Amino acid sequence: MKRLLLFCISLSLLMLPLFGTVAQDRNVFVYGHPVAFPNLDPSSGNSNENVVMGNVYETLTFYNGPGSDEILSPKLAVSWEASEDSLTWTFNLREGVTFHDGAALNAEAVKKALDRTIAIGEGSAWIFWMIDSIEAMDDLVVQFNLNTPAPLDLVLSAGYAAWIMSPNAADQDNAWFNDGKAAGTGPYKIASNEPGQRMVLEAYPDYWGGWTEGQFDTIVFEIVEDPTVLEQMIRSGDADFTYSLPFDNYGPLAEAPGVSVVVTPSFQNLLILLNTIKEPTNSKLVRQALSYSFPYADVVTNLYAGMGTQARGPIPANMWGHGADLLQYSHDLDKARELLAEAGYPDGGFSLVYTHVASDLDEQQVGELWRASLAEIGVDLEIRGLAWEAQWDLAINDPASAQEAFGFYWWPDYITPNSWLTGMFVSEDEPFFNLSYYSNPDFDNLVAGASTMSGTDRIAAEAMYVAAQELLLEDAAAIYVVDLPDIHVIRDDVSGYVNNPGYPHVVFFYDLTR
Amino acid sequence: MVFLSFLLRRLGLSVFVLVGVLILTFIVSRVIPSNPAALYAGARPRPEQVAEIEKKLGLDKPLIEQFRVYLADLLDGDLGESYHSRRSINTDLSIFLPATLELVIAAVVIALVLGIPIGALAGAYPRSPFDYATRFVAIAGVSLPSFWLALIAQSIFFSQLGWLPLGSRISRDATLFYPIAAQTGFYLIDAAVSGNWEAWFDALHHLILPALVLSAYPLGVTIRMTQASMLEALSETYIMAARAAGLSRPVILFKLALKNAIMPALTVVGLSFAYSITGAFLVEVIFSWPGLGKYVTEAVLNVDFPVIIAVTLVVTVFYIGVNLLVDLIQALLDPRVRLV
Repeated sequence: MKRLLLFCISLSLLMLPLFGTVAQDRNVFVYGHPVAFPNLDPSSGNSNENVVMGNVYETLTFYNGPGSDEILSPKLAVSWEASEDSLTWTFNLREGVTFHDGAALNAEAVKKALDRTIAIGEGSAWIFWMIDSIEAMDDLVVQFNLNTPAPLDLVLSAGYAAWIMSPNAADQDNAWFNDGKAAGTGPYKIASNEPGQRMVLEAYPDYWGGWTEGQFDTIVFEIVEDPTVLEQMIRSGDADFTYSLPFDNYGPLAEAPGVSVVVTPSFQNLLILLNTIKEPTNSKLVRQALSYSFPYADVVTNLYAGMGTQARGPIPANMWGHGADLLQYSHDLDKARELLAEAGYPDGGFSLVYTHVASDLDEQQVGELWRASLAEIGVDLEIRGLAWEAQWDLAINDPASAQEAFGFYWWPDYITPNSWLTGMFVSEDEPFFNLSYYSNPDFDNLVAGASTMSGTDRIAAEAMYVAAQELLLEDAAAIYVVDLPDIHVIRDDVSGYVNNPGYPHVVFFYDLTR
Repeated sequence: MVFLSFLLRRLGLSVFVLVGVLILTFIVSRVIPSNPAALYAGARPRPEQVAEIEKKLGLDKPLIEQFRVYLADLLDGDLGESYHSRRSINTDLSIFLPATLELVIAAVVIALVLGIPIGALAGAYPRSPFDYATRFVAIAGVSLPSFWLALIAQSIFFSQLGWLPLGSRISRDATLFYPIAAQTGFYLIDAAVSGNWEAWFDALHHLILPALVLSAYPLGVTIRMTQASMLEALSETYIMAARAAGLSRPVILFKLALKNAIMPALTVVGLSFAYSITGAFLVEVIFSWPGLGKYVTEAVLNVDFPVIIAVTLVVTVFYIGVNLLVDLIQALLDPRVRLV
């Protein structure tokens, strides 16, 4: 009995908090991150680890956030130029840049890094499909030879696969990187990694940009799946930054002391692709009617708590290639009835299948809101939640027996309108991501022309992209539901934070101070 | 000799069960509608990539051939590669399995250390207020869902009292200032071996709450079993004889009765050890504990079959191993078991 008592006493002593006052001689920034980092290999990593990559590695060019005069700014390359035909690109590299392992940045290193990524060919590496060869012309001059004209400067600013790693690191395999090792040129290097739990970055003292007072020297990623815990952390100041909380929680959180909720448009949007092969959606009039039947405002206010915006065409409003004057369908059931009658369905009388990813409750509610509206014009909507692969399999196997409406999120691999237009709407022999099965030679020509042009004359290219979207909207190949917001929560005492939707959820810690 | 043949028969049966589980999970992973190559390729692959990966992973081969390759790798001790992260599953398990085992072992130790004395006392004083209180605790421990208990425990010990951390295996300060040199993956062992006592106490501090929550079920079972067999032991004639001989009550209770009452309790706890590994899955997610549970939860969400199969296998091995061990101990102690 006495021993039991002793045990209980020592147990309760253990419950006293430890580390009450650890000397905080470090300037620490804590990022409460909702998911683990699956693949830390800069060549093949294609997921949320981009928030680490963006601070440890750098790209040759950098995509500037919306509102900047120039689309790109120099990063590891200080200047670049394309040949007349956009087939040969020359980049001049920054002088005096070193990798975390001491190696110097030069043309050979750039070639070796990108050759590794292309050779592995996984993740987003396909964005380099147009590169024939990479040549080191001089110590700091690297030349790319392309097989097709393309805006290579934009491609090289991508937030996936375009990272430059040191020549020694380029010799390593995937396991080496996933062991938490890295060697980039970025302002931070990986100090420690506890998979699934925590990663610590520390400042790289020889960073080419130099360091000043007040910048963070230590960055901690806390992996916390539970949104309630994340919210508790940001409220209490235990975390400085987080995202991915439920939409309804942001309102009260914005009122909380010491916390700011930053809402900015992202480059991701939600569309519903309409089957242009199967009856009745093969009729343009029916597709237009469906576009008028969608309750856009309800979705924006009820589902996204007013933080998203109704999309105007496939290209997000804050990106180049967006057309501010493009046709925007509205929720107009009279117009929808009119169009249905014209198409030969005066009282509706048909039913449609809408598929979405089963685990995505937003997509499901989009379907439910739409179904209620469709019921008013006599159209029945069956909502089917499937695993993504199953949803996709159904769509690519046989368009004639596929779903009529396919809920689909799209975001760009590198920041170009071409990503949406070629990815989802240019004719395909075998359906892959063109799940409307849309096929319009005029559209195809415009997009191909714009793509060629965008390496040399971005203004002309933009006009062609907009013209292509006019065709697309007239044909109503998809319902453009919502341009999604980026919603980030940050502590007030941190200054210098600007969201850049070109690098989703990446915080560039180097720009911040406390 | 009889014992050896018993052992061999049990081992043979175990292999049979293991192969059965393997075939079943493998078939399930291949027949449900999904496209593993597209999964492997990640978000929005190109058609060429998917075709290439199909070839690389051998998905274009007949099912039986795929199974043969998988089995051959498995016999080499290679559990394969995660489709989602490309990481070697062996490496991942070497990180996540010790975390779970540390938690489960702590929970079972708590269950034993608290459960046996409490159960014994409750058995020694039947119908006392202590007995009734114990019954309540035991039934609550067995029946309350662990995730609910976890949330309540967090709100009391973290939010209200501020005594214990909300989750994770070790504090940020310990990571930054007293990093543990990983060797076995058991933080308490690694920190102790390197004499890193700051980190050791920190790890222990983080272990208490999830271990207590996880121990609820084995604790309840241990209490009930000890109490029941204590009651039974106390009604035996040798206890009456001891009493008549004038032995003191503590000696009768703890030296004579408990010794006989403890065996069934140990058996049940042995079985609940394997059960706790799966029970830990829910607790881990709530306490952000980077173990097998968090690992497999993520794998399920990503439909990452190689990982799901591997974790299923590991858990099966534990179930079989623990069952075998319990049977062997019983057989050693009670010769009648061997003949069955």
